[in-house]
Amino acid sequence: MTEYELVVGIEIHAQLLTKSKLFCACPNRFGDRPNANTCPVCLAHPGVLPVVNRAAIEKLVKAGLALNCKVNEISRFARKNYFYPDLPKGYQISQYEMPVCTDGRLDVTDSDGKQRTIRIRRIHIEEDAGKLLHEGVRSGSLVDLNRAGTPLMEIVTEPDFRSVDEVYDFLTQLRRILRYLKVCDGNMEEGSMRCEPNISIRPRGTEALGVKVELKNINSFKAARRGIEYEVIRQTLMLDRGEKLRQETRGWDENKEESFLMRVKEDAHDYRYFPDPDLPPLKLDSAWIEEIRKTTEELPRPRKERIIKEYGLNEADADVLCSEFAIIDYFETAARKAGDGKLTANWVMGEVLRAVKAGGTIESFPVRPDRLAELVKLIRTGRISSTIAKKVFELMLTSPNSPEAIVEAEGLGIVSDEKAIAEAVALIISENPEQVRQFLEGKDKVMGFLVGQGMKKMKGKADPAILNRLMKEAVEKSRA
Amino acid sequence: MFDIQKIAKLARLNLKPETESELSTQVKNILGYVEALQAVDTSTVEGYGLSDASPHFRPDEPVERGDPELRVRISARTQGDLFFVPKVIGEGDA
Repeated sequence: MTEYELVVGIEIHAQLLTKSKLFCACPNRFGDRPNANTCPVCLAHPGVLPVVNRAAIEKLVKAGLALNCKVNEISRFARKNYFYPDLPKGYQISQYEMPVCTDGRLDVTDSDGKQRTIRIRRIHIEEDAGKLLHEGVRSGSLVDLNRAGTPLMEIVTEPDFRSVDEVYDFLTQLRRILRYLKVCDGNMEEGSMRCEPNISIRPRGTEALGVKVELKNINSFKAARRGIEYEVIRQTLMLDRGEKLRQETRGWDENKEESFLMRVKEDAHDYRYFPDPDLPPLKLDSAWIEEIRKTTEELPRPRKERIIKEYGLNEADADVLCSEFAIIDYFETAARKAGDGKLTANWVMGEVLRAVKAGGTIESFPVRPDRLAELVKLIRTGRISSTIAKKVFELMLTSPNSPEAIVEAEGLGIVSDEKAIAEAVALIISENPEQVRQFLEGKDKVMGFLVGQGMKKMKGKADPAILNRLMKEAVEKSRA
Repeated sequence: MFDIQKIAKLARLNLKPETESELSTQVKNILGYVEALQAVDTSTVEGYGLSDASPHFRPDEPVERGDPELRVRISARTQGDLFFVPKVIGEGDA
């Protein structure tokens, strides 16, 4: 049986996070009343002209630079013609021969840790279409054009992927980069990032590309993985049976976990692209590109390397913190104020993320980084124990007060009063004669239990050093 | 050359067979004009080149559009705030 190699290239559509649409000032916002965000331009009334949104171009260039692309000083808008009710003009303004960005790359890691470079052929800008609603309407379809004309970027890679893990890593990194740059929110489930893989297989060791299948309806990272795996099996079985593959577009059915035929190449659309006469060529002067380059946010990889060095974190911790720009922003703000990176990291990865996971986002989390920093400082200076700190943290979730104020109000500060601690120690010793005897017979471990009981008695507030010392002294004394 | 039926299909036109040859001739003539234009020597004419393009951008400032009713009601058929069109199920964008 022939051994096959997977060959995949992907196209990604990402919605750009601008405030207004690409060619008109309608709000670029979702969840509004249908057609509330429309105007003569995006409704394609006669006589209107498109005017390019500067921020959309800026975001696209930012993404292009982050993906190591060449940013072309001259690019051109083109009309892609097709008829569909979600496209009022009868054409989509896109780019064809001259996209804004070309020749980029992103390194991916396979499951065995091997690094490979994925070439990015192009990134271009285009407008999105509206939405068709079919549900609850028997005789027709309903059209909401709020999304029509909102800015999208399309990223096209070369067919450089050789494994599903590489695709997965690429999508994960890409999503992270776009989120770090605040260019796209990267939400695949909601469709703000959509991915279409072109999948083919070829006998291992050969160079010619096989017959490719374009897969649509992928709305999660998991679906991308499952969809490609399914196609590899389907195509392999067909070739092994001596059948011929057709170039076709297939859809992914998430529930059935299988792909289905949408159309074969003969039905492929003929888009009759031509330069849009309504828009002059898009000229980006090098000074502007340079300005965008300078103001581009720090990217995930260099940022991770920096925080490892700066805060003395290990790789695994840095991975968790860098998984989201909001988390790493939160961490760095807190760590700088607290003056202790490692301790702050433990708190962010532990209590903070646990509480965020229970509901909400880190952006709206009630304990802002400066308050967390104050809490970390209280632990660092020995004002409260880490057990007490957890209690204070719980209270901070519902109180706007500073941790210092909470400690004061609740009487949670560390007790270093030797008399009070000695009283607790005496009680523990009289309550646990068996454990005291065991310790005196040489079972050193029992001391931990006795100290623990003492701490419990002091409601976690005893100064651990004093408690330890007094407990040892008292036990030794009982030997006599 | 062009296939008049294919062009008609892309333009969503239902072309009657009896008009096929007449339309083909007309389209051929239009294309002929363009070819004639292309034959003109323009080497000495300063053209509309790419390099002299000047950028014209809009700032990213959204404008609220108000009640959609005003814009939707000009459509032949509506349902609430939505445009109503004949049933279409299938694919739009590639």
